[in-house]
Amino acid sequence: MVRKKSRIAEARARQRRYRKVVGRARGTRSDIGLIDYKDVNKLLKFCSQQGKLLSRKRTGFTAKQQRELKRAVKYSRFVGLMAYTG
Amino acid sequence: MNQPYEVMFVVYNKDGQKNHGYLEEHLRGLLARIDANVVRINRWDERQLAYEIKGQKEGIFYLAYFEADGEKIAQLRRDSGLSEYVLRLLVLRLDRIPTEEEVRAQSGAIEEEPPVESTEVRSVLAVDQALEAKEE
Repeated sequence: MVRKKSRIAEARARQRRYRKVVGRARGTRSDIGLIDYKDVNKLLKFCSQQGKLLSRKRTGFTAKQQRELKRAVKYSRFVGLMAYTG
Repeated sequence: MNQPYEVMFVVYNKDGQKNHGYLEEHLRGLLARIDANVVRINRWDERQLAYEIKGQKEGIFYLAYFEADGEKIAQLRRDSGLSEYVLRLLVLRLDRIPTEEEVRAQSGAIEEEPPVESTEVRSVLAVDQALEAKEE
């Protein structure tokens, strides 16, 4: 039993770390301003190391912001500023 | 009806000239062919491409804002596709043409965490300017 508990605690700790990657997990992120495909440094903050988009849970974006992010990343990839993979 | 557009050209220095002015001339030519009213066109950046495009690893990015008839955009795409210099282009329709300050703020020129990165950028800029001065 003891072992099981510690495993749960471990999982929770992992989850906390997971969320910390980008910051706040809930609510509108007003501090982020406009999302533009040219601002690669900003976009990379919301992508995994493989270049995949992070989920809304991790970006803390509203649905609208997340759509803008999606669009921006796709434009950015198209013009060769960001990688499709890796 | 004329609509405002933003276009990002990815070009490469095919002729290997030091002066990239001819590339801008070429792009202006492409825009002139569709009777576009060019508000602004400038070299946005020159950087490594995230992946090879038409065998090129490096690209020069030109950002242009213009007003044109929407039906002519297809022609711009076609002309650019035939162009030897243009690797790729992204055309976006805008609500209005942003001012220069807005563009600068958008494209991340103003960094959120200035200390480390901005000094790097500045030093790179200084090197660029020094090189340009030498060339002149």
